Amino acid sequence: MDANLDAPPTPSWLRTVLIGRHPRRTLVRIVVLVVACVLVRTFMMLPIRVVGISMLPTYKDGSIHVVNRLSYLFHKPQRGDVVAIRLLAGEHVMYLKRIVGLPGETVFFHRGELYINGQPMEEPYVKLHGHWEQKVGQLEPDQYFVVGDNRDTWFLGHEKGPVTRDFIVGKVLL
Amino acid sequence: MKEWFKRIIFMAALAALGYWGWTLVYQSPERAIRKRVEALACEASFGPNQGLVSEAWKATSLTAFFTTNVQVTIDVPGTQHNINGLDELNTAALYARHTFKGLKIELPDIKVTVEPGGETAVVNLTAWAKLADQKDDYLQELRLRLIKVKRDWLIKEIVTVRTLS
Repeated sequence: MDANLDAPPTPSWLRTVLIGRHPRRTLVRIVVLVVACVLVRTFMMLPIRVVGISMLPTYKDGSIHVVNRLSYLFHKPQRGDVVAIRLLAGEHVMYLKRIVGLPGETVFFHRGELYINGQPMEEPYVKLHGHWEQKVGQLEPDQYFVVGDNRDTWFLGHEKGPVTRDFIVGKVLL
Repeated sequence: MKEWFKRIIFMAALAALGYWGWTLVYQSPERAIRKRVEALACEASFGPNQGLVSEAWKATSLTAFFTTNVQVTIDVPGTQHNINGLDELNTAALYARHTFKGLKIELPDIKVTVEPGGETAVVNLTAWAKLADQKDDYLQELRLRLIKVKRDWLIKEIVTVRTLS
């Protein structure tokens, strides 16, 4: 009986389930997990939800995807990359577009077809074709031309155009 | 729990409370402008089934956010429109309340830049508008110019802007 009185009290099963046998270790684990989540969310992966039809059929309205913020840490954006573009005010709402024109290139649309430096570009991702006519001109040394995959939209209503590197938040992973 | 740990927690809580109180009393211009713009979005939003008096009152209350010579320039695909002065703005607000069943404006991003001198400021914001009787939402980037009049920040110019243009 004496030996039982000296022993530490056994934690209840509910407490064991909720905070484990060692509360301090559990607390440290929770803190590490929260910090890791915040770091990943802030500096690496950004979850996004698509709103709208401009990237159809590649990205559907309402679908959830992840943007990799570190994609362009060691190399420049490439043609064909689908990227998230921040707006002037911040990053809570962004554009999801595909890079079709690289710095210094000349971009124009003729009868719905994309021309880079006067040459027609093959775009296998475009399934919805339109009849766009637009001469963009030559891009600046730090500009990329971005556009949605759905070209079967009203030309003026479709957000597209040149954007500088600092507006590109990252590449869409999934 | 050890005594020193309790003291640290207490001091941290005290410091947080002090900081919160300080920001409440001495509000930075950026924070004041942000709250002002958020209040405007709230005031400009409206629900269905509003009475005529309520409509008129809420539309008139919007004028408190603007200078008398306010200029609004709307230049979006398919629409170009200018509003000059409070009277025209008031008319436009009343028209919107008569035309639409409901409007909800959200501002997910607000970027405030107070210009040197502290008397004028530029606000870039993203506005998300939901009309009650329409399926699609509207996204619009806006640039506001504000001027400090006595202790209030009043909007003297609103211009539509586009990141991709």
